[in-house]
Amino acid sequence: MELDKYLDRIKNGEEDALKELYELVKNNIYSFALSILRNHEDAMDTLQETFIHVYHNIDRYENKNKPLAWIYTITKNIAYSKIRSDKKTINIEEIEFVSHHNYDDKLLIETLLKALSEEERNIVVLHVVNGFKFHEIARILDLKLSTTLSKYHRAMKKLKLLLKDGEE
Amino acid sequence: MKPIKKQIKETFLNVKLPEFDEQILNKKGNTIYMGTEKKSRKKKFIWLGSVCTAVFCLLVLGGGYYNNHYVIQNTIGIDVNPSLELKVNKQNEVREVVANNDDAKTVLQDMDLVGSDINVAVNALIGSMVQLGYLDDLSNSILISVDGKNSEALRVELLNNLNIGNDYSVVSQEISDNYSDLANEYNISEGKVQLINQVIANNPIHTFDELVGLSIHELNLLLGTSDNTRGSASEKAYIGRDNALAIALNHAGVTEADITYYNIEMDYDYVIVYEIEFYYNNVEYDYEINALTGDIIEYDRDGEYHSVNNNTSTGNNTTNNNTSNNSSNNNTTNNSNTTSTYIGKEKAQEIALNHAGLSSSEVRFDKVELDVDDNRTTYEIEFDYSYYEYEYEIDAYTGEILKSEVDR
Repeated sequence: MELDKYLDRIKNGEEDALKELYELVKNNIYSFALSILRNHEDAMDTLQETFIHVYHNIDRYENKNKPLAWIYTITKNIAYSKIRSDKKTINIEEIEFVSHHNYDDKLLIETLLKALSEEERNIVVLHVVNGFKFHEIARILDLKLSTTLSKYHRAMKKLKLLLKDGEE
Repeated sequence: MKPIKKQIKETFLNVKLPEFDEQILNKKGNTIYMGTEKKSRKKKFIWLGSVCTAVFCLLVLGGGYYNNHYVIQNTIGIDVNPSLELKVNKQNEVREVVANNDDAKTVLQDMDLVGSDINVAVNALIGSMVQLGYLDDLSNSILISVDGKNSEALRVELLNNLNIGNDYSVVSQEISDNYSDLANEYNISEGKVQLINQVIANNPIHTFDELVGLSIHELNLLLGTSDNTRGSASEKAYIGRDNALAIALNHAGVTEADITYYNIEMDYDYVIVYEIEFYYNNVEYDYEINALTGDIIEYDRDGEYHSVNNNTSTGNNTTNNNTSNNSSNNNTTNNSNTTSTYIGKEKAQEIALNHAGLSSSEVRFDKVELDVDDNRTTYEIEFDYSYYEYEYEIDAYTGEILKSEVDR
């Protein structure tokens, strides 16, 4: 897998590989962190801390087949350590977007963060944004595959009701 | 309007995020999980001026102090052979230390860990275990089990703050269930109960009663590599994989250059054993070798089972000769058209599972068959995982995946 090459290069001390990996997956990592924390600033911090951890703990990465799952587990742990004591209200005011769509990006994120439970948000983001298969998501989130599937379908049903779906 | 899935993906990829911050390279990774480093929250405190309110506030603050300092939030189990439990408050301060056995009392000596940070306490205890010889290069496994609220985050924090080198193997786990009944029945920690269950989940042939007497180090050897293991369990107390393989090859009368594939794993059969599997001229050989003494406990050649009595080296040699003869007979009848050999069913299963990202304990195999299809010899493999049906066709000589399908 291509990402493995980045991790191998980081292991060999190539700092550029960390930068390239960051640029490649920063939005993916951020989306997962935001789905857990529902707070833009904390999700940005989690993104940075994930990369600090990847860089300083690269020697612990052994599972050659699942580099993304390793990184996402780090992101999950960091994000969970941030919500240890207080349950946050949604804060996405400061999110900025690169370009404009013919739909409201912020409204879409707000709807997803408000309407779905934490597990539903995590599953939708990991599958739809990050392309993980359901059995991989089940492992990352420590859920049963059947639970993952039913939560995903329930979440998409909710989102279809709340947002306009071009498929329908 | 675009489909929702596409909208969601585009939206998250459209978020403007900062470019790579060079400081990432300079910051230390092992500080990121420290709960105390969280940004301080602005706390509003309104002074109402009346005595009653002041008393009320004092009560509330006092309650908060009590909650933060005295209420136990997590229990951390440390098992080597000494077995200890550390109970910590919300701020990760040790409030109580419980020694579960006499070795644990020896480790504790006159250490007073109450009030210290959990990371400091864990390092102090492990340091003491090294000094007292409970941990050495022959037995280097430590089990850390975290129970209670947000235990996964605490587990990771503990792991990141361990001041031990790579010479040790640390298995860390969140306690996922209440194991107090079994723990009390066998007088072991809940962490050890969960570890034994994990070994059984990987290899269901074992029973709890069978494994309960094993040490943490032996259980770690049987566990092999897992997501929650850092560092390798030392095999220095045993004959080692190379020697075990040499014993098996010597018994079979073949050299390492003759065989096409081999696999060695540690297992338990009343003693710790090396299980060795290899292929020679399309014949599968399986050996079980006492990991301490190097004695062959049993071997199996292409389905023919042989049990070897211990301390009968002469008998062994006799069997060896027979095996070699059988082996040559097999070669002449079986393999006239090619010098290549099949990778074997188990290797084919392993290739399919690796491709699917699953392990053998998670799936149910419906079919593993050798088949000749379009003049190509393949393994046809089918297995189920939850609602999914996986189907693979794997080249029997090269291990190449020729077809893979997943249906729901």
